[in-house]
Amino acid sequence: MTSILEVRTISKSYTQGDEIIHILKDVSFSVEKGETVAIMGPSGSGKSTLLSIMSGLDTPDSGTVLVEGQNIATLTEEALSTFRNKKISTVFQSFELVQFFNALENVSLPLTLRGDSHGDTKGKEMLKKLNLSHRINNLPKELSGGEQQRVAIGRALIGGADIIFADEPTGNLDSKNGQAVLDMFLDLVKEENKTLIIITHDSSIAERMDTQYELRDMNIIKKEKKLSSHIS
Amino acid sequence: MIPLLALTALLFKRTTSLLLLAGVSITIGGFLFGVVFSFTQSVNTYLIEEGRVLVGGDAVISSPYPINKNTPLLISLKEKGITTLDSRSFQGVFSTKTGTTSQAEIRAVGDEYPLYGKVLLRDDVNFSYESSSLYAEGLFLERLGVSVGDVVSFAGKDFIIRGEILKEPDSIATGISFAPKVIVFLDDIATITAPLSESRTRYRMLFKGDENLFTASDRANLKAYATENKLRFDDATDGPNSLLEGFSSLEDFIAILLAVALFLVVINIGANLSYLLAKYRKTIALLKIHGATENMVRNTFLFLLGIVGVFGGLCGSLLGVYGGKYALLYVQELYTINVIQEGEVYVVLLGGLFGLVFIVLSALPFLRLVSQVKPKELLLNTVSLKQSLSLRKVLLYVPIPLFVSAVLYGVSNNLLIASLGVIVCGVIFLLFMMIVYGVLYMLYSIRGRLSFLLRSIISFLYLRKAETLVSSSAIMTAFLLVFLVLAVEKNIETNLRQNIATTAPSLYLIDITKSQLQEIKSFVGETFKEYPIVRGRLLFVDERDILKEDNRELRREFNLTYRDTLIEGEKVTEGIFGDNKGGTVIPVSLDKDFAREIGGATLGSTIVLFIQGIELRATVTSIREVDSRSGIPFFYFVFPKSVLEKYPATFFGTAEVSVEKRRSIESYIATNFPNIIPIVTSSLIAIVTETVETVVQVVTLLSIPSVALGLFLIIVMIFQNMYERRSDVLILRAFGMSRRRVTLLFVIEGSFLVLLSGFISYAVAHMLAYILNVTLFSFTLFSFATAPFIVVIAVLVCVLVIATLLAYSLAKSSLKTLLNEK
Repeated sequence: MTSILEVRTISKSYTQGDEIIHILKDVSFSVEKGETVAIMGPSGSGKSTLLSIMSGLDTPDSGTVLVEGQNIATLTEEALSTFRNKKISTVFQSFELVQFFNALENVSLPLTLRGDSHGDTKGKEMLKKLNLSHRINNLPKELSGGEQQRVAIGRALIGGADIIFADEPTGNLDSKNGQAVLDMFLDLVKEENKTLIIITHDSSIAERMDTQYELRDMNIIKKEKKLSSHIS
Repeated sequence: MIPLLALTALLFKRTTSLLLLAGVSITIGGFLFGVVFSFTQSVNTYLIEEGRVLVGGDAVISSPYPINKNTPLLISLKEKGITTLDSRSFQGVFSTKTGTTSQAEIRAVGDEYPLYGKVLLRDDVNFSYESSSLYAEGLFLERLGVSVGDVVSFAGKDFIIRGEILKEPDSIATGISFAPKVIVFLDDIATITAPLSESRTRYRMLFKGDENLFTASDRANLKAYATENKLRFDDATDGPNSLLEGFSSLEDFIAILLAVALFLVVINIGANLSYLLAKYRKTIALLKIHGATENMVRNTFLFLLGIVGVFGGLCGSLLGVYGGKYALLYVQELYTINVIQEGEVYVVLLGGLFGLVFIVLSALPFLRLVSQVKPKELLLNTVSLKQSLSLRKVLLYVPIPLFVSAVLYGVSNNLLIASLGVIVCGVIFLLFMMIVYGVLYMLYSIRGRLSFLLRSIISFLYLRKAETLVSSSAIMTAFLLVFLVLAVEKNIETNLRQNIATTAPSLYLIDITKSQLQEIKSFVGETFKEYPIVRGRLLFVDERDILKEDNRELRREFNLTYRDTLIEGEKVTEGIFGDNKGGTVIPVSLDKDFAREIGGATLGSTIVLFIQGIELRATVTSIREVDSRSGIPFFYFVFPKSVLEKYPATFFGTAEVSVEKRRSIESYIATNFPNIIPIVTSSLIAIVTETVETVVQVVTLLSIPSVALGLFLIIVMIFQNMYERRSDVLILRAFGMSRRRVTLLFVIEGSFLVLLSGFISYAVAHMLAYILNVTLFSFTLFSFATAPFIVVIAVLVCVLVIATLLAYSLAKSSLKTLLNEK
């Protein structure tokens, strides 16, 4: 199989006052097309930073991120925008829906941004898959947390991006809602053969992924998959 | 605890900008307060303190006819030891031996002149009485090509120029003149044989004496005597009324600008505080969870706002007082008056108090909301606000308009402006909110048909509801402020310029006497036309006693004329013009606008005039429309020839002549008829233009702080509006919106707000300017200003710059950092 995402010796640090805090140091790994990957680690280990760098929301101090062989650091601002619109998509822990758009407008956002005239039709189809047909015209503030995250998932999938990044997608939901949303999310990812990279604290979520990595001491370690959870 | 919390809040990076903006608003409010108060206070102080210098004495009586000094009252005042001074003003033409001529506003004074103040002369020459001497302004010397020490001639008498006048102490009391001023002495004028008595002359008698000598009762008697004898009376304690009135229109206008400006400051502070509350909610909830009481939290904010208010008010008024000082220097130069600014420290301190009271009163609703924040908000991650309308809640909005009204009253001394200013501001603001809501509602309902960018903008603006309505209405009000200034300036200019038409005759000849008329007529030639003038004062319109009314404009002397035919540009709109031979009443024809001005005189109304000591009772038999801009003399009152011909009259002549002929006429009348004033239309236009420019400059100068505030608030509010969009735009960026499109989004949104606000404000500003034209300035012409378009373009350029910078900053910063911050 070919790598759809390749992370090569990524390092990242922040300056806090006079102190330099190293977050990531020479992190390298790769993800195959259609693979689902969980990245775990304790708080402050750099999970979200790594995800931001991979999704083009942040830049590394050194190292490269290759998406389908393309180094995203070499992209112009315009090309990077197109890249974020077509190649990747992100699901945030706090949903990050546009507050002044209704559910349909939020779901179809990536298509609207690229000028797709069928955005509304495809958006309605996506909302139907997410069991939100009755919420088409509702604003985010009128939706429950679970519904908001389903809209966010729909938005991540609708644009046909090959790689979906998810940062604690069920972190702001209760366990029952979280489970339902995750089930729906994973079903859709499998159905559309997407590559999913998920950041999570929750080992039960991680165990449902094909591959698990753990960030520890600024580096990434591949974890062996437990048979039992694989079966489940 | 409270100061510590307040200090921490002040230094908390994410809210400092909001407090700073509130502080800047207060600073600008303080600046306006300082500049307006120092201006009005200084002028008022000046008028009261220097009143007697300006008036020329403690009291003055004046008349267009010689004043009879042999009356018991005037004799008794003189016998009491009260100093009296005679003065006589008229126009005349001086000439030199080389043939140069110059008209002059001549003031012949007694040797006691001046009773108060000092005549300032160039090179520190002393003003003193000397026979056959004169003192003149530089322009006079320049026109004649002479200098101090030379001899000039007037009506056949030679005068030595003793000094060049820099400033007369009572120049304002003698009025504005197109001609340079010359001071001569009455003894010399008495030796002139030319028929000066028929010139248009103003006779004045000035009185001087301290309070024990020239008592209040003496003044009251003098005033009664003046009223009885139809003389004008000026009292130094009232200040020169014409100047006061001139300033009072401007003061009222400034008060209106101040009303809108302070209203904007309140809105801006309110908007900043609501953003502040949104950012502080969780902190407040956290403090409450840890035991902070409502009072403690409220007092913390009160303390914090107090610091901002006092500091902003002090800084602003300090700048304003010194700004006012420079403005006064400029005004002094324009009017050659000596205004001494007083109470600088007092106004600055008052500015600090103003800032404190203003911010606290503006923040009352905010302080209530602060105390309503519940600790559970932190746990539930929700905001719950009681939206019920209660009397207590409404009452919180009452003190600030009352305070603004009080400030306005302090500036204008006009209760109507103080109360109406605030009410009109509120009504206009509500009107703006309704218009914005209507437009957005309509656009939101059709948003599905709009492009993504437009849809995004409309959705954002519509769904933000209250915030959008308040901020866009504030932008409109700010535009209104700026446009109102521009529209009023334009209308002042239009109305002052209208007096001279380009088609006007090329030469005017003023004050031709009956005996000189025939000779002048034959010398000037066939284009000469004469208009007889008989001067009189209006006593009654039907039962209304005009002399007892406040309107000075109606109590002045009017030029009456007589003729039996209409002249070019005149049209009778009602009644029959001309002599009613055999009728029982004396007919008079009134100008249509003037008939309205004197309270709606109609056909059949009785008009009583006081002419040369005789009361003339006439009946309005026709109403005329005249073209006041044609340059042809127009008259409010036209009588049949048979009625006025018997009264002493002077003639106003017009002629259309070549430049050479005009020069020969000027030379001829300077030699033969020194009392006649030739006025060349082109030079008159130049003088009017200069006067108009001066007035417009003063209005501009006084309006600068308000305009600056308006523009500042427009930019700040548009920036705040864009800044509020920042978090939404970040999400759009995360899903692939390019920087170019983000810039476009900001540009379109900002431009939409600017254009919508600009368009509506332009319309409302001109409606208000029209109302001010009619009510405050009594102008008849109305015109639309073009300068607001330039302002809108300038603001659009600013929006473009802000949008680009904001889009650039969003693109440059790491999206992850910004999202985390969000």
